Amino acid sequence: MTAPTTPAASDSSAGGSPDASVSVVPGSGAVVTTQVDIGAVEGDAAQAVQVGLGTAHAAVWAYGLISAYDTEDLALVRRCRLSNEQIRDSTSDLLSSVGVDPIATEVAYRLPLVVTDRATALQAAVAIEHDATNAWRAVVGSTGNYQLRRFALTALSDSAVRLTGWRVLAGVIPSTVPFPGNEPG
Amino acid sequence: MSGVPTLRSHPIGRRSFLTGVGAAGAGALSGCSVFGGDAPTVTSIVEAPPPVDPIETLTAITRLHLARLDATLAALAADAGSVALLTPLRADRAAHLDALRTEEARGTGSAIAATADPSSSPSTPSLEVAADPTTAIATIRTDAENAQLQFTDGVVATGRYRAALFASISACLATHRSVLSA
Repeated sequence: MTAPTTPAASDSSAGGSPDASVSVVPGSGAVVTTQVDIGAVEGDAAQAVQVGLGTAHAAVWAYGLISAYDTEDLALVRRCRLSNEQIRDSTSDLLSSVGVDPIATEVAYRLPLVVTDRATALQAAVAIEHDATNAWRAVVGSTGNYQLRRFALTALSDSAVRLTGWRVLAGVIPSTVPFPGNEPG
Repeated sequence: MSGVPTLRSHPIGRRSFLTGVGAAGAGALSGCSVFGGDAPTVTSIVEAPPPVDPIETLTAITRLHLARLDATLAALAADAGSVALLTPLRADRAAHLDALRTEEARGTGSAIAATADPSSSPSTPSLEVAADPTTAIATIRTDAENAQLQFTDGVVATGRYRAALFASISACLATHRSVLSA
C-alpha cells in the first residue's frame, strides 16, 4: 500500500504570489508564505504560534532520525522534512514580523517511543504530525486575526495530509480522522 | 391650409431660444443652492445587514455531501474496494454533521432533534450516482474540494471556537482529497 499523495491544487493561483499571506487551498501542498504585515497578533496567539513552531523544529529533527530506520520511504520522509522546514521558516518570519522572537531549535527532542525499526519509525512519524495538527488547530482557536487563522489552517491541513499518509503506511485504520488537531493521541 | 400657422411661419430666433433655456435652467438650479433651500438637511443612517453566519450553509452542504456518499455507497455496494474507501469518509462526514448541528444548536440555545441518522433528513434530495466507480468517486472528490473551500472561507468569518471547528473539518476534507486521489 502506498501513502496518498498530496493532491494538486485546482486553483492555478494556489502557488501564491510573493506577497500572498497563505496558499489559496490549504492542504494543497503549497508552500506557506507570509506577508510582512500580518496585523496585530494577541499575546496568547503568539504563544500558540510558538508551540506550532516548536512542533516544526521537532519534526525536522525527527525526520532525520526516521530516515535512518525507514529506508523504504525515503522520498516521503524527505518531502515531509522539507515541508516542515518551510513551515518552520515561514512561522519564524511571521513571529519576527509581529515583534516576537521565534524560539530556536533544540539539540534533540524526546519522542513518545523509542525508534528501533521501520514500524516504530512509522509510529514516530504519526506522532510528530499528530502533535503538529494539535498545535495549529490551537492557533486557529486562539486568535481573531483572520490572516493568522488562514496561516494556521494551511499548516494544519498540510500536517493532516502528511499524518494521513503515515497512518496509511503504518496500517492505522481508519487512515483519516474527522477532526484533525482535536483527536486523542 | 394657408391660414394654419406653422413653425416655419413664426420661427423662434436662436437668441430667444437660448435666453429661454438659460432662464429655465437658472430657475431650476436656484433650488439646488446650499443657501437657497429652507428644508433642513436630514441625515439618515441605515445599518448594514448583519453578517450571515456561515454555519447554516456549511451544515446544509455537509448534509448534501453525506447524502451523496450514502447514495454512492448504495450504488457501488458490489465493489468492495469502493466501499472500503468510502465508508471511513462517510463516518467522518457524519461526525462533521453531528458537530455542526450541535454547534448550531448551542449558538441558538435550542435542542437538537434526536434522529437516528443525521443524513436521513426529510429535505434530503434523491441523488443520482454514476454507475462507473471512477466517475462516482470523482464526484465525491469534487464534493470534498468544494466543501474544503467553503469551510476555509468560514474559518475567517466566525468566532474562535467555531473557527477551530471549521478548521478541523477543512483539514479533514484535505485528507479526504488526498485519500481519494491516491
